[in-house]
Amino acid sequence: VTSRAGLARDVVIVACAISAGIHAALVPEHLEEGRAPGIAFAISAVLLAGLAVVLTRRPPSAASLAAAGAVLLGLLASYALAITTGFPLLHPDAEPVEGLAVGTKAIEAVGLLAVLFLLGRGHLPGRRPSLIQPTGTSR
Amino acid sequence: MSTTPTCRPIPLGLTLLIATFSALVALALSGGHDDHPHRATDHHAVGYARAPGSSISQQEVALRPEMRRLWKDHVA
Repeated sequence: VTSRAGLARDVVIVACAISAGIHAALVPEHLEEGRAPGIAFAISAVLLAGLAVVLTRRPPSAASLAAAGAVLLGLLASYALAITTGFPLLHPDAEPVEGLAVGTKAIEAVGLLAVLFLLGRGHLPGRRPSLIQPTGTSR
Repeated sequence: MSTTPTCRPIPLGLTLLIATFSALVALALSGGHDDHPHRATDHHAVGYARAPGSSISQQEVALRPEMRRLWKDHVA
């Protein structure tokens, strides 16, 4: 269980790091489209990089994992809007599907699944085994 | 048996390396997209990036050489 939880935590970190790098690299391109999309990409990159650092340096808490899940889910939902109806205010027109974006979203989806795995079963790596109580044993 | 090794996250340096590499790949791929408009411009067909699958009208095709001619006249 511990190794799976550790692997899942590493998957979340790597997903956040990859997505942060890609979002940061695409900031100038989106600033050419408009200030709002560029700023949105910059904020996403900063949030993802911050999550990657926090999850790397500290044993992940439920709060940090929930934050990672919320950011990854938000990015996935935003992209779904962007390619279908367009994102209100930031990107009103629907954008075409591109390979880089799909690849990024696939990585984010894997990261989100890892977050759900860790949160769903209470697997928080980095905690002492004695602090983890099996389900139904709490008094 | 100690569980410490499995609890240790990947190093921060490796995380930064992954992020940097991802950024470079993204730049390379997005830069590759920018090549298409330039190549198209060389053929005097399209001067900007178009969405895949979208079509260009005859009016647009006619307008672009005309605008280019006006610009050349202006510069000359």
